[in-house]
Amino acid sequence: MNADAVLSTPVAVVIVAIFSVFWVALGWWLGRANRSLEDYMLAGRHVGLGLATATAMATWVTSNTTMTAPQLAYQLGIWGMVGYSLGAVGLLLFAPLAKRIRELMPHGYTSGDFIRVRYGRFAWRVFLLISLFYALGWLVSLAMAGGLLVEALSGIPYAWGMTVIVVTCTLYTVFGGLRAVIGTDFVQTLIILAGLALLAGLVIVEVGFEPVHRQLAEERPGLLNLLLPASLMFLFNNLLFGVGEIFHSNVWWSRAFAFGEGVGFRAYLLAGLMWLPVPIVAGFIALAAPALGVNVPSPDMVAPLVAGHLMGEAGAILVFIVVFAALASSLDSLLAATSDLLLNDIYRGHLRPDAGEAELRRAAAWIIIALGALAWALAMPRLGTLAALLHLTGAFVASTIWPIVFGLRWGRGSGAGAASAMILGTVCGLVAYNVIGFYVAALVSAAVSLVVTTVTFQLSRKRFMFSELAATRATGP
Amino acid sequence: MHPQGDHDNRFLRWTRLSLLVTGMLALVAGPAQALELRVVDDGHTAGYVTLAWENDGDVELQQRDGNGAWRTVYRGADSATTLSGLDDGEFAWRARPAVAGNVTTNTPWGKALNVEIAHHPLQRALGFFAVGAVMFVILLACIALPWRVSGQPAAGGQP
Repeated sequence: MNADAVLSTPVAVVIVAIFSVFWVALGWWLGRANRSLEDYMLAGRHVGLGLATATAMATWVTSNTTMTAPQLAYQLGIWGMVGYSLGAVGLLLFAPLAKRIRELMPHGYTSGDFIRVRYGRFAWRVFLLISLFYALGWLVSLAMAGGLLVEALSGIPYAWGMTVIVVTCTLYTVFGGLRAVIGTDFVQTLIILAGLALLAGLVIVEVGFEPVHRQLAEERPGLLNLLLPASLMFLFNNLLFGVGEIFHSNVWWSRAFAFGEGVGFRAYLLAGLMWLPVPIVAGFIALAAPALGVNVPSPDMVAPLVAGHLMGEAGAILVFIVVFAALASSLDSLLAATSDLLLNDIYRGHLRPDAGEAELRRAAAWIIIALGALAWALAMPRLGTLAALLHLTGAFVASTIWPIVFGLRWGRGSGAGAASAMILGTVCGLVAYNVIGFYVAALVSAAVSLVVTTVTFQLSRKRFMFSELAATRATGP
Repeated sequence: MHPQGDHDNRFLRWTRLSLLVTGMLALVAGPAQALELRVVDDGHTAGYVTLAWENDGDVELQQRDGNGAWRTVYRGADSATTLSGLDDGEFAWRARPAVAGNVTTNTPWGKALNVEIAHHPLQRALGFFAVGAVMFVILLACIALPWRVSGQPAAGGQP
């Protein structure tokens, strides 16, 4: 139990109850417009620019942004904070890819569709393993963040807070599908942006830059050191980790399919630019901890602790609402996109190729419920810190960057080559994670994958016809 | 009559009584327990470490940098703390219960925990930085170059 909990339990319970009911009701209301499986999975493929930008932005502002970015600032200093903000590069670079994907696969459903058609079944299965492991890791880290947040701010046991958040998001995603996810994301974006702007303003007014800098220089000079070795190693690692997450994950591919024609490029670009300052703001809040004399029992709780300490119950309520919105906006997106992947690539792709629309619609709901239950069960033991869990998945996702980028650009390359790049990249990334540290796992994975992908593309004599992708539909292989 | 048996009985009674008194005194005075520190998040190559301990009530935690003097870095009721921004060198931490029943105690310090902070060599860090920068430039080039028109055969492609 954290002794610095500042939000009284009844207040926390009321906030959680109000927002839980609100999100579920909104999700159900938005979901009434769903008429077909395509509506449920891809919101009818005509999401406009405003909603598209908001959902991309809100999904990428996760609990990791609001809790892990401060953690990294507290552990790795200035570069930890800046490095985390380079996660925006993934969104910015995905903008042209989203345009390309929409043009090449106007009827596509998932990122798995692309890998299957482009590289064949073996590479597809390797990709699915990586993607599902990542999705599960992200889901668990989000669920853990929910429990930690509630515990840090209100003293409510971790298990209870985590359970309520997972159940709420699962319910409204089941009721409304991607349409509900995007609609709630829009409201959640407004809450997140307004809340963070208010918090940052209050920190600057109440503490100021000079006292924060003076205390850090006196007590923790390493955090201001721009040549701190681990931070230097982390910088591009985090950039590549973010790129790997976005380039491979069906969370972003499904949106590329769902956004209206010509919307994807502008939406991802705008979302990236809006996201860029968020980790800086969140990280700055963490760096104020020494100046405020706030003890940090677990580094992933530093932001809520500082805000609660600085602004009392009002600040704690504000952080609580912001992080709850950030959590929900990511958890729902991940549940929806991962269930799409499981439905399209595993259920229909491997188990029931002849399943009809009604069966698939029912299966989609059950898969979301099962995913929520699995995330809940895995988050319950509270394994490791958020950053440790998150960065373990970096070794996996960074290995997919080059097979995807090269595969979208050039016609050469083979399934065996792409699969080798993903497997070798992941293995080497995991070795680096254990031997050197979490801050190089994605970097090593991406480097090995780049070498293997380049060599196999050069050696390959196969020529892929991109027109094959245009015919991609959600039919089994 | 068994004199030896009476002696044994008296000895047993005294032993029980003394054990009872000792136990009651221990309960009244409270155990003078030494706090044991442990590392729960080891970032010794990145300059941070999270320490944890078991104790009910306030704790005082001190840190020593190399052969310097002990200084208090935390006093409060939490059961862990994260110390970051640490330079290369040998660090030691020790802790003791600080308050018992609203009375400040002067209990003995627990065993010191020693951790050597050893950052990665700067050359290694710059090496990783350079590899990352090169990959970023390649990625940028791959994305920024004009894309092939959809549906066009991709025969001439080169990575």
